[in-house]
Amino acid sequence: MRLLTLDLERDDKMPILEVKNLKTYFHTRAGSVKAVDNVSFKLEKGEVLGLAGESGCGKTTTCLSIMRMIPAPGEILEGELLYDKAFEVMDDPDSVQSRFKNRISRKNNSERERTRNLLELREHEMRRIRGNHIAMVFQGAMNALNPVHRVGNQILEAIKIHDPEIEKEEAWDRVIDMLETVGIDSTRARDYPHQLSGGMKQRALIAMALVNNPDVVIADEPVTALDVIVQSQVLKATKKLQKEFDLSMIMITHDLSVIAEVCETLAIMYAGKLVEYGNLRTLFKEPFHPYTQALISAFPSIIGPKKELYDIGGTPPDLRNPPTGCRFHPRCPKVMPICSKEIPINTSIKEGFVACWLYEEEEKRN
Amino acid sequence: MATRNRINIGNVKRRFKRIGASLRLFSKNWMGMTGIILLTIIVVLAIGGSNLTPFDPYEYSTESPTEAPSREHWLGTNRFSQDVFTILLTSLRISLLVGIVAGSLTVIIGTTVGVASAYIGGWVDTVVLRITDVILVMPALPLMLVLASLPFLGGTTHWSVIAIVYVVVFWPTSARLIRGQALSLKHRAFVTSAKSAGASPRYIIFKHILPNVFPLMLTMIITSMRQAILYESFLAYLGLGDPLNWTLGQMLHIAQVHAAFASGAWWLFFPPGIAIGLITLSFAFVGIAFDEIVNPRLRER
Repeated sequence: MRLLTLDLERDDKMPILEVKNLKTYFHTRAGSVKAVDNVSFKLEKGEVLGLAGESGCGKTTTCLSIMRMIPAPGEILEGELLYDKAFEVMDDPDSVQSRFKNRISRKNNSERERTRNLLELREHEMRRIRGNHIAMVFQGAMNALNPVHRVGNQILEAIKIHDPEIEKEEAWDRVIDMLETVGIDSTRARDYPHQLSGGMKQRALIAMALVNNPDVVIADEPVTALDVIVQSQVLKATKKLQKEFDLSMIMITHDLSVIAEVCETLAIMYAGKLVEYGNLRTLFKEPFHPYTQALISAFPSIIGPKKELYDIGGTPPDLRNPPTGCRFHPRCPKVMPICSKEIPINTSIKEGFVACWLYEEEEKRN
Repeated sequence: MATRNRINIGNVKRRFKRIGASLRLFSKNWMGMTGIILLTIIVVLAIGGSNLTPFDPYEYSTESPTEAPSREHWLGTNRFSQDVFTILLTSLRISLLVGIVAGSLTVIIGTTVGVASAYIGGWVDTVVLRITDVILVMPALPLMLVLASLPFLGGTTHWSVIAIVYVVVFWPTSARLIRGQALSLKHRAFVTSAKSAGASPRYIIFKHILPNVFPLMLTMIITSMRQAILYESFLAYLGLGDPLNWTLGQMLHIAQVHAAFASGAWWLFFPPGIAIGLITLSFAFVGIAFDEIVNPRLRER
């Protein structure tokens, strides 16, 4: 038994989800909006990744791309979304249908049986991934619960989608269990969403996402519309559940304090690009990218001396024609001539990387 | 096991409680109650039809032409000595039938097309919108007249033909309304949330969109039924009705043909006119009451 767990731990070192060079553009009449441009990151088993950045920098689009739920004018142009168990949901790979329909899969015939790329799955196979393997938690205040169904029934339906033959009583037991795990009294299962408070709605949504035991949970601004006390309650519940189920999580937020509370790894996005990625503690102590530096110094600290908060001048760029070179260069305090000419490459720093010419130069000099 | 049973019983009780609560709300609404009582009386009379009187609405004779109301003939007779009260009861049946069939069919077709068009979107939506535009830009009454008098339909103006004409002319109105509602629902967070839980399009339409458009659908069905009865009467009055079956419009048409106005035979045109008015009114009352129940914002406090 002991050996087995050790083996599993070794396996866990392999990332459960890996995003490679993801490009998602929205083709509007006024031009293509490059919402996500060449984003790569890894998510390990049990890891909590915080995805931070200002509004409109592509955080949500990145996550919707992972779920393959990009709405109409959007398109995932390139990239790989490698998920460990993607092959589990595939139809019989040799069936006639998949041979004709799945053109991408035909390209790499040998890999077909053990594909990990979510982009190779067909829509109905992808549906088996959603909720069951990768679940998403939405902002509870923004009517993410249907007003005409009872909360318990909505969670029940989430079970039934993936297991249509489950007995109602068994499913209902699971619903009640889940609700109690997230800290909602089981008598509230028969309430309608409008009868719950904002924090309870958010916890119900978390219950809905976790009820199918997913491997990866993507939380899209889960506490943004809540007040600070409820925020901390929900975050604590989330953290507890994450530990309990050993979940891998991606937490999208623009609030660094939320990230500081629950995350281990931090990824900073700016204008559709990942500018910095690394361990949360190191990044908070010693941010490399000028944008991260600005972001962190724009955030008040309770401890330490009082100081003027920093603000980043200028406005976020228009993603239809983003600035050439580094997208942050028009607002960057440490801008150099090369910044406007060439796109910076990812430079490795302590357990992560930064996309900035400052460090690239350093590396060359060394 | 015991707890489960208790939960189930509680479940049933709660459900009854909820229906009871809705019924109480309805019974407190004077409009709804008036409408329902009127409608019940009308429906009972319509179902009873000519069985309730000793006369035959289709039998011709020369015994007592154009008699004023009397103890024997409650609403008098027409030129062919037919009892007007019997005719009225017979007419109610077909008028109501047209209303119910055409009215609900219109909204059902409209809902199906509207929800599908909104959900699928893209070129399907565009094509559906243009088709509805084509029908919507034409004025309804003349269009109905033309359709009802088309040779392949007009030869046998059975009541079902008028129902079909009504459906053809009015489904775009309900389709547009439902489409608008469904479109706004489609972009609500709970639909995205359901999608992220792995729901299929069919599931989203049946579990999330249809229950939310249902209140709108209900009020539209009632409005549409009322309108269908009115339009049927209108077409029949203009002589496009079924000459072999009595309907309220047909009665008015015959009154007009027999110069009832000129000869002062008021019992030939008042009864059908009042009947149309009452049916319309009761449908409207029920509609308003339903609207208030399904839409708490309209409730009086």
